[in-house]
Amino acid sequence: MYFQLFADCIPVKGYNRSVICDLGRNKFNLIPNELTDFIEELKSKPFNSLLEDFCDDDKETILEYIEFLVNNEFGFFSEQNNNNSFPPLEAIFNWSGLISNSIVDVDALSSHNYERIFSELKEVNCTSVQIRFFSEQTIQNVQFILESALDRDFECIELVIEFSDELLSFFVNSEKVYPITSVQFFSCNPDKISDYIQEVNDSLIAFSFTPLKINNHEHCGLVDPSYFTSNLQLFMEGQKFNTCLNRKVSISANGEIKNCPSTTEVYGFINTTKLIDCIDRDDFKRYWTINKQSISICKDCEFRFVCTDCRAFIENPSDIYSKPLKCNYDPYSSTWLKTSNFPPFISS
Amino acid sequence: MKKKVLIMSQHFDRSTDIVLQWLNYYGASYIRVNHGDVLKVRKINIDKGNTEITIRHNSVEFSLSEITGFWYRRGNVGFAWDELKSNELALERAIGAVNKHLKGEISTLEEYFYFQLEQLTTSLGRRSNARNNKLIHLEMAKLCGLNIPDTIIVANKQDLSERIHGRTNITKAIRDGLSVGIKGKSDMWRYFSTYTSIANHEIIEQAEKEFFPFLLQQQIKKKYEIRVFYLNGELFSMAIFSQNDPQTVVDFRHYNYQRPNRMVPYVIDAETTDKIKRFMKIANLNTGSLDLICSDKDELFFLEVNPVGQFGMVSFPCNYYLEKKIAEYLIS
Repeated sequence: MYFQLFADCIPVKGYNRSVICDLGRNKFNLIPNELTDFIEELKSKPFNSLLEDFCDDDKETILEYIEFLVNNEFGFFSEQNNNNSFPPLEAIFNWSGLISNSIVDVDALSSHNYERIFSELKEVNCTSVQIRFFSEQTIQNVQFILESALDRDFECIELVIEFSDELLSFFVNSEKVYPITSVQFFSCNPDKISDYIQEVNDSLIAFSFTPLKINNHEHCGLVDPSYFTSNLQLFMEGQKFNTCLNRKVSISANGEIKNCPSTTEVYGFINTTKLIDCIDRDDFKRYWTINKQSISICKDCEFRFVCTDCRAFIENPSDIYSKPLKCNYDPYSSTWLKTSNFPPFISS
Repeated sequence: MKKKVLIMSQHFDRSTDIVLQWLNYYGASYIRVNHGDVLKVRKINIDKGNTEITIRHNSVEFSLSEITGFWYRRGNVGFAWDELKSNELALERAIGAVNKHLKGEISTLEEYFYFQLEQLTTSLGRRSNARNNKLIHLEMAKLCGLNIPDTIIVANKQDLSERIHGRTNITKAIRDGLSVGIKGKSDMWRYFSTYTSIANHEIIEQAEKEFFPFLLQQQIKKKYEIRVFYLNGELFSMAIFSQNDPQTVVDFRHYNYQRPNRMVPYVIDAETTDKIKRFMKIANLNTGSLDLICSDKDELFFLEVNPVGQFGMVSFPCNYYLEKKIAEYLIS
């Protein structure tokens, strides 16, 4: 008998323990490193003969492990060695454009030409746009911006905006008018969040709420288990690329073109420079290939392929390969050091 | 010459959208014609020197000589024309005959148009082959040495009971499955679809002496199902472990969203691969989605091929980027 994992269940070994990324079902489980090693050996040796190498106590443990893997449908038994019929997923990531996602910041002083921004984003085949409003917004203004994004076939439009009852009902009522994917409300009354969640229960839009005030780009780069995602695209992208900054472009509130809103490098101004000219520059892509394996501490972390990265807020600003500042996890002791200063959004 | 691809498809076909994004990425231009678009003949020129076909698509004119690649994805786009109409009862039959004649004229032009497109060196899919005949395909598969499940079309009770006696069968549509919506109370639509289902003794009791013919097929005890996307001689296969879930044992399209079936890359053995290639050649298909089953005895059975089938469900879980490969083929 041979045992092998399904190709979409991939163990990622950390310093102390492993995470098995279930990319078919978009979840992950922690498993001991010993099990990861054992699974590796099972690739070439029959299960029964491998089991013989262990003492009775260990056998018991191994059988428990295998039961866990089978119950979760992480792997399967077969009579022959099936490696040739069931190859691993090819670790490639491709994107049919220069840019995949973008952030547009808006504050009280912004004078963006939204038509131009959205049409230039479309030109580089950007499919996801996040618009962050750092100042109080009227419905009319939000509506005006959304109108410019209409008919451009963005796959994902995400808004980050200060909470108001009027905006909440506006979004709930216009879910069929504007192709909004999600709305993240900040400055929410913490006592009312559960009511809001009730209210948006049936909405096509994914709402989330936080009591925090998000009035500038400092509120980013957070690493928290609630932000972990296990999916095939992110996993494959993360093998070679930075899981936050690869193929990202941002327009700051005053029109600067940057890779990330929180980094300092400015490559042009949206009113005067063509987006595509900025992105074409090699230095624009300087962070794109900093993957988790090249970042200290992260490279030993079992969560490295379900986690996003941040290069703007890092532990040692003079070392671009240092760990994200707003991560409180220590893979060497497998502990979250303290409760975060940046509580995450609560989702509906 | 700048690459320009003509694509016949439908609105909302996600796979087409993604292929177009890739064509964009590679700097190729394209014309996408969707089912329902108005396509009109402007001019067809067949002389010694060259052939020229000018077509109007909605309000834009293009010439076939600009087209370097063609993809018949799906849908059925013909040439638009206006039927003659008359209010005079006496002319009804004559007008009917003229319309029939005109329709014949137009369909001959359509045939010629698609014939020319299929002559292009990079031409994928064929409109004339979009409609699969499962029975003919089973015959062809058999001819190529592929295993097929025993299949019978029954139309009377006696054959039915003989067939059902002592073995498990499945039944499925001879052509395509059916999906109908029924408007119920408070305007809620309910949809009823046909799936592959088990045919057992119960249906004998309900059967009349003679009935509308339907298909019965030996049920293959399966280890897993295999879905193959075939692209111009290359096979991209995926195994679907639908067997462990009672909801998906007979037809994996009863999707279990909580615990989706495992769908992983699969490599078909060399011998079967050759048989499949031969089959596709005989069936005159250079693309299509094939369904196979791996039996509990590790034998592969060919079930059917859908020339215009879905392949996104193979492309994404297996990380194959089939849409990218199609785009690359179309501009090769």
